[in-house]
Amino acid sequence: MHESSDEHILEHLLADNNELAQHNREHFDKSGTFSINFMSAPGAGKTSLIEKSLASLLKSYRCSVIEGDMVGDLDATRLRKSGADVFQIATGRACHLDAKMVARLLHEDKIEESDCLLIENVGNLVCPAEFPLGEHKRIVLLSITEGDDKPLKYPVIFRNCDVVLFTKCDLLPYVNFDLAAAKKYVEDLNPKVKTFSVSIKESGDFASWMQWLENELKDYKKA
Amino acid sequence: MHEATIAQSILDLAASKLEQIGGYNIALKICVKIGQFRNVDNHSLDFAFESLKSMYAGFESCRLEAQSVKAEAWCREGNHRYNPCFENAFCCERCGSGIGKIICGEELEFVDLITEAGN
Ligand SMILES: Nc1nc2c(ncn2[C@@H]2O[C@H](COP(=O)(O)OP(=O)(O)O)[C@@H](O)[C@H]2O)c(=O)[nH]1
Ligand SMILES: [Mg+2]
Ligand SMILES: [Zn+2]
Repeated sequence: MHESSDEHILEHLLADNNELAQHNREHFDKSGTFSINFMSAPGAGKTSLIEKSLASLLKSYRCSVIEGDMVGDLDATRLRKSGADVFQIATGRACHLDAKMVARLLHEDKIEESDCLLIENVGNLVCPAEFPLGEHKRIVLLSITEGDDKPLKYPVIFRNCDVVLFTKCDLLPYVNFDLAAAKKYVEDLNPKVKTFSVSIKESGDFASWMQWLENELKDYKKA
Repeated sequence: MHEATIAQSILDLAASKLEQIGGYNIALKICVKIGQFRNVDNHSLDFAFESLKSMYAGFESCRLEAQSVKAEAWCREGNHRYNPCFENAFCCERCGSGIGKIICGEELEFVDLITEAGN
């Protein structure tokens, strides 16, 4: 978080959310639940990616999912078929999840028992960036059909994340998307970011993403 | 939009400060600092503030003064001080490298509450 250069630390306008996020994080660490916040524009492929990632994670880990959606439970229903425990949060008019919404689910047995909690945020590249949930890792998805200039238009979310996934890479032959340029924009904004080009179809480098995720999960469980 | 949430936090914070001051004081102005490297649209924030303030006693005639802070950073390779922005693709004009450490522009802070004795 930002530190004021003045002698006195000024009050952060979203201090309530940030404190609660910290509380959520402590809770996750007590139960050993590695938690991940997936963020993107609507339709970039969050549910599809979570579904495919679960298929391999569930072989070795207990997993649960929190589905943030403004309305309906289509995605939650879809993900329940994977065998993971899925919790739905209907955000109503709110265009993002916040730490308080997640805090209400902290004491669910299925979440406390999980090794890994995957949180699908509401589809939006602006608001979710301002509301940490207590997650260990922040993943942003950018589908190649959205255009390679999106990191420049939404710099805040691309700067404040751990991984950027370029999704739907099977469509690269049909779309004008300069993957190298997009990768450079993201890396110029965010020195520590990792990027992977993925697809839920055969092409793409889904295996590298899974490898990264499983390594992080293993390191977390060891610590 | 999340500007409504931010406007509400500003009013909540200010309301508790006004209560601490006590007496019959009313709020005239709230000053906040908002960095450009934040997802806050000043018009949306102002709109949200104006529509929420009547719900807070003593804030009926309060104005919100949001000071924007331009983003400044040290570039990653040359250690040059520059203003990362859309126009330079967030890269240093002198050496072309990306953002290293951000100096300012990520503020989202409550600065001051100006009050007046009411009756
Ligand atoms: N061709 C292609 N389509 C995809 C891929 N991933 C997702 N989609 C499609 O994109 C649409 C939106 O995906 P969804 O996972 O619901 O996105 P979300 O809104 O971010 O959760 C669906 O029709 C998916 O089938 C992909 O890797 N390749
Ligand atoms: Mg979805
Ligand atoms: Zn430089």
